[in-house]
Amino acid sequence: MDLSAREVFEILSRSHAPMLRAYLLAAVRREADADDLFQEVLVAAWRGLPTYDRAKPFAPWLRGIAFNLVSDWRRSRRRDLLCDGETLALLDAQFGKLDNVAGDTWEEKTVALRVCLGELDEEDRRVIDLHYTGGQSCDAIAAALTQGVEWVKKRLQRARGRLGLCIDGKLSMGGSP
Amino acid sequence: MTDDADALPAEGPELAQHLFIHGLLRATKQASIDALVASAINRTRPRRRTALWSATAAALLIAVTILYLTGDHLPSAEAAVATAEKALDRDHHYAGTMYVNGAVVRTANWWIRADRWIVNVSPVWIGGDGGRIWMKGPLGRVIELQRDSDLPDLDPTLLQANLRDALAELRTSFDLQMIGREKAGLHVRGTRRGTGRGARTIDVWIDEKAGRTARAELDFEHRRHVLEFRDAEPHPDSFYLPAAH
Repeated sequence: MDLSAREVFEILSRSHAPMLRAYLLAAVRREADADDLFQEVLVAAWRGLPTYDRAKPFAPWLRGIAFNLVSDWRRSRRRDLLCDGETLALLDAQFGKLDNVAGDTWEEKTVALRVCLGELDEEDRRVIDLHYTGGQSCDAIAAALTQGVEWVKKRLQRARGRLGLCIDGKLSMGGSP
Repeated sequence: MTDDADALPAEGPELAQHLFIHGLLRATKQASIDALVASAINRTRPRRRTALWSATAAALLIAVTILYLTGDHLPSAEAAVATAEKALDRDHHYAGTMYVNGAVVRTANWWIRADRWIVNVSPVWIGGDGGRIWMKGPLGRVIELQRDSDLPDLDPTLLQANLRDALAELRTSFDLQMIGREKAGLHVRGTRRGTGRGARTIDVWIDEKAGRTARAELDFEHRRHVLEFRDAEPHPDSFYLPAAH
């Protein structure tokens, strides 16, 4: 049975949605802004579908649309972005590392993240959990752990740096832990 | 989140790598992603002509209804809103639903009594007493907040859906219009004067008999919060403190 263009688009959109949302959450401060941009990207992708070369992977094409929309959005909302245009392009390359990881689902493609989280030392893991799972600010974490705010920020930075190195290592081995 | 930016390297490839990890970690909480996709897909569907005809017919019906209703005595919109605001001096519980482009993305429960309020957006509780605001997270820790501070991963429109604040703002910053008497109650529409922060329009339906808001709809640019009355069960003062939740 041949699928219509809309059905193909729905399937591709759903399978790449977690990647797109992660990309936008990496670029903008507020989750609500990421959700708005997420929808705008998918609507723009549908409108631009006739220009999509089906011989090429969908994920980089979708991120390209996201990059353009975020760049436009940045003109009026500079303070709500976490990076400049140059870093945004580098961010695309970072997400590109996941494009070739074996696996059909986002969970499969991000298995290295979960493995690397498990390899963090206890203190780094705790700060990451409080900030990303518990949604707590650096101030709140500092109060909870009776540490200074700068200590928390450095811990977060260090933990993310370690995760980045660990994930790079896993991906260079073909994505398997 | 200002402290996200503070906790990131300054620029370049190192910043890109940190943002990559930052995005992956933030995306581990994505309960609403199916609704977001569904909503975006829905926006790409062509609108049918029948929908246009239905909308036209509905508009005509509303116009005829309003003409019919204006024969009855209706209170002024200002008086109706003042009555509804006064009712919130007693405990009221409302169920809140947030829509993004027509799709449900979040639900909440609001309890309000005068300046005291709490909202539960599972698993987070947020409350206030007109001055201080507290937040209790899934780990049970309580932190105090400033209303205008950046709350981590919390939609900025959520606290603006506090019905008591919304009714007070209706009186001061909106042009009010009495739409008429409808099944849900007296329908009052407020349209924001100028371009202030917050909802652009607020619709409230006021139960004339009980003198309270039965339903409210706050329309933001891409978001709509709907509040529906649940009950007016009285609660002790301690109910509005974090220890109770």
